[in-house]
Amino acid sequence: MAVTAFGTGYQLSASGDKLNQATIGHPGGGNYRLRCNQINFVNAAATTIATVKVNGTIIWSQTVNTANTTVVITAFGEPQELDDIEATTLPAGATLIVFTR
Amino acid sequence: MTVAAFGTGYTLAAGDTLDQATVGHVGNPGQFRTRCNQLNIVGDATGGQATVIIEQAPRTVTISIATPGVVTLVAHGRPIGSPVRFATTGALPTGLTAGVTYYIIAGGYTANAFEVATSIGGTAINTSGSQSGVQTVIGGIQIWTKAIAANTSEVISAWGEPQELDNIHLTAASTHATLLVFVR
Repeated sequence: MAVTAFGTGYQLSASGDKLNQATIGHPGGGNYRLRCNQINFVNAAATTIATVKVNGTIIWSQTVNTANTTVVITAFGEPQELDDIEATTLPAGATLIVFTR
Repeated sequence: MTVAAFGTGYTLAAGDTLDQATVGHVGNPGQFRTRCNQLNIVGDATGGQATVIIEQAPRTVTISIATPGVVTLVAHGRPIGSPVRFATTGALPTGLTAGVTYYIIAGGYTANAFEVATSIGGTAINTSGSQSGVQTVIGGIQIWTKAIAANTSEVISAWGEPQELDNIHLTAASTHATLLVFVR
């Protein structure tokens, strides 16, 4: 488990890392779901495959052929309420950035 | 340091950091973090590469002069691959330069010590010579890195509600790019 907080954002840096209420508490006050603003995949080496699941369902899976590049997986105009975000497949050196509110 | 304000926005050049001392507590006196609405990268006439890091407060460390050099910081809490910068009140060992972003590598990694390289997964840096003063490390999280085309602006993050962030840093290795930070 390698979830690291920065402000109201979180970095997942290993395959299997999960972000959920048990990890972040309840930053939304009475809100019992994770309120997500945006998810970024930050790549290190080229030709890597990453997979992200929400509540066990794949929401994003992509091969990223460019080293040192960032892909915005999803961005929300208003925070999205989610239960459980998992970096299912995360190549070495790559990270998943989750911005929450 | 070339951070320039425009209204409630700021422009950062390579190597700049936007911190609370610069921002104050815009929009919320009780707010101790920067409330950021959006981040934009603007490429100049040449275009280059930009890397944006969110950084926390500096912590004092010891650095060995050895092959490789080892940074000791009890319970550093940084995963492998994390970016770090060094600062000093005197001189760093030869091999490390203040203000340059390095990355924690797997070699020699423990809960209380780490080695660094110039790139993620790179070769450990050897230190030599002598050092003086107090050495500090600024740890961070890389939220963005990408090539930016010439004369191009890219919205790297935009939030419907302001995001609360720690210090925002555009790495010294970023080229031909400026970072715009919109705050509330």
